[in-house]
Amino acid sequence: MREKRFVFWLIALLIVVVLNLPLPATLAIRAGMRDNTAPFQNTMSLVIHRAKDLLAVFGRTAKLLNEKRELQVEVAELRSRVRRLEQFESENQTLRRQLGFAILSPRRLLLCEVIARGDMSGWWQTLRLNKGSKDGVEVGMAVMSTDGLIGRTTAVAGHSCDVLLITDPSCKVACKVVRNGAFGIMQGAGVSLNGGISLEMLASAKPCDLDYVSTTYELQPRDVVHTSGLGGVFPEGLPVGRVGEVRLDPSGLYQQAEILPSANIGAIKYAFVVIE
Amino acid sequence: MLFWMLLMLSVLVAVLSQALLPGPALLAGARFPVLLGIVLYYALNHKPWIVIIVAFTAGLLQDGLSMVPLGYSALLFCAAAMVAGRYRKLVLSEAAVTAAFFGGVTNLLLALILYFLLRQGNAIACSGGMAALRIVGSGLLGVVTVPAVFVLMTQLHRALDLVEEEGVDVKA
Repeated sequence: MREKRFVFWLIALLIVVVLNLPLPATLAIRAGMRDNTAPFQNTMSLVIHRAKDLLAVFGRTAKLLNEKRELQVEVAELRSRVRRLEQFESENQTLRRQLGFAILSPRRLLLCEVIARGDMSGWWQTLRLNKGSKDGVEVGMAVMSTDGLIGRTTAVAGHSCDVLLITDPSCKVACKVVRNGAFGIMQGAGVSLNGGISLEMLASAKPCDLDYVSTTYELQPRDVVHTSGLGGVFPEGLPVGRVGEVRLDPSGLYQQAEILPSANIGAIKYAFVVIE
Repeated sequence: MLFWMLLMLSVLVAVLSQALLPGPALLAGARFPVLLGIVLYYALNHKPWIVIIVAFTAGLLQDGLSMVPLGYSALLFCAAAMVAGRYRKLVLSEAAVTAAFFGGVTNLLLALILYFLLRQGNAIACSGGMAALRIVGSGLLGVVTVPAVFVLMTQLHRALDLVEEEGVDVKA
């Protein structure tokens, strides 16, 4: 009986200790837990992907062969474009050097696989990726899909990291409209309850909100929006999305716009962490 | 030994399932409370000192793998387990209705308290309506998930002959 009472008091003491742990200790515990569960999540994610692929192969062999042929053509075209762009880059660097401008450092993209979707508690919109600090990932790095920005890294463990999605209301991104250079702050609007349902997230994200855009700029639907680089979290020039509906803020001081993210956030399997 | 191995395995599987199962959009992304189901199963079927260890471990894992400050869920799970354990002799612990009732009420209350704790610390930025929907959704998912967890756990314990009787300790 005395031993059992001891267990109660020990757990009560542990709870008090855990609630008052200093930040470095909390981060270390979290990182340890994530690192220890990441291999299991990786395995489960791999099994699910393989099973899906297998089912897809049985159902659509002819279609897949066609897609393969189309992709081969696309790869050849893209390779020739990359060669041309490399020539332009080298020419651009030579000209920048002659004009005395700083040479722009190239971005390194780290390919990661999504191993879990959504926060365990359900209060945040996150993804977990299978790369962490051992691969060079740090807190606050931008994360992209092939189509555009999807979020930023929040918690990083040795072999995994969590990404706060741009559709989460607590994620803010400094943006600019490419056509006229209008600046604004984009904020996630959360999950849509009546939108189309994606099979993987079972939730469709609402368009994000772009706020604080000066009324001197005219915004048009389908205008392309990139990150502005202001604020220091997201590097400049990452594609974010396109302008949807535009309206004036109730105060009349600035404009607001809906932003439709370029990336299909509900169905991401692979993502790139932007390492500068 | 077998009992503790099953306990650890069930907590691990519950963590992975909860991380894997996406939250339905119609309930504002509320998650299936698989871990809470495990805690409530032990609270209604096993000795309090075992339950408190399960509740603490499960809560700590939930916090560690989410963005919730460390210790919040551990505290709430322990409190829920103690309250459920207090009523274990008054209810039919194997009935699906008991599991559904405890699952629904406990998960709704946990979501509500967690919302206020996170809101107080400015950790979340969702609207009141969305939060209310998520809290109610948590209750509904508790009603659905916890009985399923109870059935699975009862079958497993029966298959391995680990059912605890009144006054008799499990094979440790």
